[in-house]
Amino acid sequence: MALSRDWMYENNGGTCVAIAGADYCVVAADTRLSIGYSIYTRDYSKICKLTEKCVLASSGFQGDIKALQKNLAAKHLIYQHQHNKQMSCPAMAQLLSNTLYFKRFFPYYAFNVLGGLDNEGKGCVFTYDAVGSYERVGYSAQGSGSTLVMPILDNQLKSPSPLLLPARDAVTPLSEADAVDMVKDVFASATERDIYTGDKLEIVILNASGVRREFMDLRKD
Amino acid sequence: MEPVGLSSASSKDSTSLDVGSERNRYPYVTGTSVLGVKYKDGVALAADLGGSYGSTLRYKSVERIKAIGKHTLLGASGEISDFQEILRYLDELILYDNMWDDGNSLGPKEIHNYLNRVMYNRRNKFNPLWNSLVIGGVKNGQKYLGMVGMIGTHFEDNHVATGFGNHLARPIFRDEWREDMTFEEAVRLLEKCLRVLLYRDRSAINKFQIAKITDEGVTISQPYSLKTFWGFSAFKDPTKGAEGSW
Repeated sequence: MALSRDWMYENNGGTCVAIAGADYCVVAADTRLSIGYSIYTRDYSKICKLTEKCVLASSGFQGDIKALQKNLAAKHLIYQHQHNKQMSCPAMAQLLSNTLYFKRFFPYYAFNVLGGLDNEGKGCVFTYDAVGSYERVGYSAQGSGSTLVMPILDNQLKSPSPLLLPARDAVTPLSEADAVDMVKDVFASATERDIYTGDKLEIVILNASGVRREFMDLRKD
Repeated sequence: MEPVGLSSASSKDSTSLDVGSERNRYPYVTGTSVLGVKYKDGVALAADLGGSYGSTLRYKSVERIKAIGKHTLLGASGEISDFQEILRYLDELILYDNMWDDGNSLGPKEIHNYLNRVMYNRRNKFNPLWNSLVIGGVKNGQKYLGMVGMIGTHFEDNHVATGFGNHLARPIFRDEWREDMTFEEAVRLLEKCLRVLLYRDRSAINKFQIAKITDEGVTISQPYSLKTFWGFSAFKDPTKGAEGSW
């Protein structure tokens, strides 16, 4: 059985979303940890604060996610010792991509969304696949409920289309409060139809005054 | 995670990864569920004393809950020999911890993290320890209860269960667990779940141990059995509704 290679991974489910605004970034994930048709726990955080300006939300195989987040936190600590400053969000984005690709032939089964403030204080969101290909976007969703969430965000966030020329900044013109409300709505909807999403929603908001955390109950069924 | 017992390995996927190294393909002697609950003064774990060899109940005195250091209890389901290996790793860990002689000692959170890393790293080498572990303990008044799976999945909660316990016991815990249970209430809750497992889990046996840990220390009970009831009329006369059947 060990030779068949599908015992090494499992999908612990969950949905992660991030939305970038003009001067804020909202990163959110549900807190349910599932296995097959069972729930292990209703209170497991998928969000990891990497720097004062950069927050990572990951869904997928929890063993790999924990290892990945620890790995990045350790690399960031070394960076701080060597450079006497924290990593910027775009720098962390590149580091995450490289870390994922490093295990290209035995991947971290982690679907990541990195959110934070860039060097100019504008919101930035980076979205990844499991092997490190990434892109800076205005908003993104990953995980089991991502297909339910993305279309709503596409429709409701009023972000400039990525197909426009000249290229425009993809951040949403919505206010921070509106973006947080949007995230709550979107998770409530995803919870209705995705069995792996639910229990509780954890929202992390980054802006010029710092990092703030909010929680909201979701359906437990 | 099906135990295959004596039948031979499948050779459908021979790859060069297999060369020369020991590989854990499937478990041989396995223990079934371990249950854990937090209660007012500490944490209680429960497990039966069975070691199955496939469908044979080969060993009936396998202690699957052990004390680790001063502050922790470890319960394991899955391959028994891998559990014994884990106990050897932990012996060494606790020994080095004691040798520091600095008044500090490893608590349940540290043991959980250590075991999490061990399980995950073994999985990365394609040679897992085929266990699901329950770690419970109390240190400085802080209660802790967590679980680590075979491939490194882990979490912490007020009640945990491995294997079949996840399906049969967790729902009962979710309904009846309270933060301020006394030890007697915790034992009643555990026994209720153990009884359900006894009725419905093929590999469970009617010989259990309940272990408790508080700030004062560890107590692991002597093995004992639960009363069961099999006197249902459907069992006495199974063919009542279908004459001629057997």
